[in-house]
Amino acid sequence: MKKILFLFLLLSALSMQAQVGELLKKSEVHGSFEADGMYYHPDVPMGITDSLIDGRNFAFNGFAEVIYTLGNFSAGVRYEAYLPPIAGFDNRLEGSGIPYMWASYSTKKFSFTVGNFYEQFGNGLLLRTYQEWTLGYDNSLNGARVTYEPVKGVILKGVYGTQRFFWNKYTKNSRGIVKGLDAELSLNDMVKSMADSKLRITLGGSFVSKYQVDNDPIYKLPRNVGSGAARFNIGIGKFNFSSEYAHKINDPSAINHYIYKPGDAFIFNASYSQRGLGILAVFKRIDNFSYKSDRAETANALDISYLPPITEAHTYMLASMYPYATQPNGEIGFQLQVNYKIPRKSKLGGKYGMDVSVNFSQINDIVRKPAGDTSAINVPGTLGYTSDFFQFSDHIFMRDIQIHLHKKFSRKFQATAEYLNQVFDIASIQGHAGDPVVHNNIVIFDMTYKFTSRKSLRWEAQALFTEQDKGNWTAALVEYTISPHWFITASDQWNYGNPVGDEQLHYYTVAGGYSIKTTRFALTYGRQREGVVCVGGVCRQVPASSGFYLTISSSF
Amino acid sequence: MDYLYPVGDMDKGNEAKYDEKIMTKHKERSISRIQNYKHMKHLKILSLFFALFVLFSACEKVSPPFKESNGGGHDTTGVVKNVLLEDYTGHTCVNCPTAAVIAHDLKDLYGERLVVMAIHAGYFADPHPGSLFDNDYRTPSGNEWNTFFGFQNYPSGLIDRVPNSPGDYIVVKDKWGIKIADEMEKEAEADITLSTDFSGGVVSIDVTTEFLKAMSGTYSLFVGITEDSLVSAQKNENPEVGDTPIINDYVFMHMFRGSVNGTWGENIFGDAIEVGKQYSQSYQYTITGNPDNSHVVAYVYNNDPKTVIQVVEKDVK
Repeated sequence: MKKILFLFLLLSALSMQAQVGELLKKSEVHGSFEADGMYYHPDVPMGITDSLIDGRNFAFNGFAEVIYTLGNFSAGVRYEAYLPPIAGFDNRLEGSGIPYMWASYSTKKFSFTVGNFYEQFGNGLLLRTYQEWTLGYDNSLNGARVTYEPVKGVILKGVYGTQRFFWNKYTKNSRGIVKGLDAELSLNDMVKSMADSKLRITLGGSFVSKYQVDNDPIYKLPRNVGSGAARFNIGIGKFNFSSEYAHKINDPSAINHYIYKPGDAFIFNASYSQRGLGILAVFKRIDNFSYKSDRAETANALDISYLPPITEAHTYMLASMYPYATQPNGEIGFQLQVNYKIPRKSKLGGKYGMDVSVNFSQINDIVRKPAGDTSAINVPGTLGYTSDFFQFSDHIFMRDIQIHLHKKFSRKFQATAEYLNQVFDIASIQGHAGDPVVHNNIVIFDMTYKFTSRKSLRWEAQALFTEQDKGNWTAALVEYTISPHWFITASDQWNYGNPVGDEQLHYYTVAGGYSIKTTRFALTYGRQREGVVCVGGVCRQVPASSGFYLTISSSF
Repeated sequence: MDYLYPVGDMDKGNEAKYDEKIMTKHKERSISRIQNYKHMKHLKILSLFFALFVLFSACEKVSPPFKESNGGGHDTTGVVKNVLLEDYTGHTCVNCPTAAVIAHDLKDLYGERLVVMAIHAGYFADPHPGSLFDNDYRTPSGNEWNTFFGFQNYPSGLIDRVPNSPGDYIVVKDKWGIKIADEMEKEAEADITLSTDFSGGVVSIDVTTEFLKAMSGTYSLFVGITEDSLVSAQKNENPEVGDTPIINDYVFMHMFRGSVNGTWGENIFGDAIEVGKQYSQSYQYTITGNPDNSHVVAYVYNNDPKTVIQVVEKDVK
């Protein structure tokens, strides 16, 4: 009897092992991780003293994310640590733990996710949850999401949950609850006769609502704030038009100074594209459209809506000194961009042609008039103001003119030249009340010389001229790359025009890095100037710092 | 079943053909039914989706007046729990005047049950010699609290120093009202009697504390001075409050001027609290500001986690 039992157990174990083996074969595990460490040291000319560092010489931001997939099932988890957060990140991030955990089951037509998730409806005007590691930004929803495709070309989505707020777990009434529905119809997929049509039409609509308790002793606050949006995307040959309009009912909040006016957001894109030529025109208007799941929050957190920026996101050192941040209380603006490739073998194009890009964008404030229930504008506890839809105020938040040229001269040498002219209202955008509007001119040259197919040298020369803020700057960079593994770079930004003599500083850095497959190490030593870093219209203030910065990242 | 063999004779071949025909027809009808069923299903799902739309669209449009008419009210019968609001501020902080207005509105609402201390600390409180902002309103205690509680953004505040979560005390200005309303609901755990006598530039302060219920933990008494109506420049971005970007003659209220018995006060109650016992303490303090506009603030707080259980305020003169 014992032998039979043993044999049975053995067979069961073997069978289970085989099954587990089979499951493991079908399973896939992917992941990524990053560790950013900073060592600060005092730098008296920059105002960084021992007492300011206060013993906190080390800072660390790190994460590891793992995603497991087995057939229709998938699950993921992300661990994060900010011990303490690197300078410039919100200090409410300090801590470590697992803020992101989810499981999902998907079939051809249906998908169900529980836990934390990211989602976007249309352009994101009503709802966009996303994570941006470089900003320390994460507004993921924690709850459930369902997507369903009842017929080809129709996608329905539903979300329900609460948003991440640093490490604070949701407790009753600690913040709002978000729910949303979205439908997108692709007519070319739905209607047989349109399947092969050159006219491509997609229509969409969404509805989002948030619930937050009203226990404010001063104001009568709406507990349920609903919003709706409609959108389309029409493509005809080389032309494409897309637009979205969103409307939100009264949502008094800390951002809008507790006014009860409904909010609107509108964006319209038109583009033309053919070989060698691309034209993009964008119009955007935002009117009282901050939409957060906590009406009292003023920092970059708990945003339900995403208001896409229409100014160019510059990457060169000095060009990115004055980045624009969307003004949720109101802005109206447009962007026009033309990309043209001067053909090869033409007089200007030479052997390889030349890329020319011209970009013009301007964002103004909207025009506000008294709402009638009060003689002033923006008085808390009133309708706030009224505003004509297409009227631009004289108040310019930002104007950005960019001319970009790129030319390959030979197989070994290529160069980029860029000119920018900016008008930047530093008082409104960065809160430097009383500071005059910055008018600047920026010139940039970027050249690359390839010694061999693997070794290249790139150098930049830049200059920024302005009579406002911190005055003139100049910058240079040299970078030597031995692809695909090594790079070494040195750069300096010199604020030689600072009106305060002691602040005419050099911000130098030296960096080296090594990459192998998907793993990258980089070590930087130097000074980081005070500034604002923006990604997708969301910005964070970075204080000046000095020291070593090590980053390691990998994925599998 | 809605299909049957026809009545009558049939040979086997014909029967088979007939069967096949019937089956094909049945199959077609079944497919059609399945398709109809699918369409019905889709219609149902779409209907459900739009029903949910309607359900979700239960939004609340608030009609004027938008402000509460009766506010939170304030109960002053018997010993009531008063609340301490610490407003961390600075003269170059553009949003701080808006926070001061919120503090003022709340003070109007709650009267003496709300004690406000405006703590000038951090980057925006730095003096800038040679400019409009050359006054140094910072205090050693304010600087210590600023560091201890980890202030990074201004204006921000503390409400009775009640932590939101362990180690996290800071409350954004637009949540002051909500937090204060919560604190007002709490039962008073201690009664503080404060009396002052001003003579020759010195204020004599007598504080008597009586615990009203059995308490665990250890407690300290803090005594400090605030002053109203100091006038100097303040940066401002809210035209409703005053000129932008600078209000040249801004009137600072509830400004914390210094502590009488140290940043963290002193434990005069010992390790074990006795209910009903009168704990009395006297202090003398030289007033450097205007005594007509100065006040004494006394509060009792739990040493860990620093939560204030009772606070009172009295004019110096």
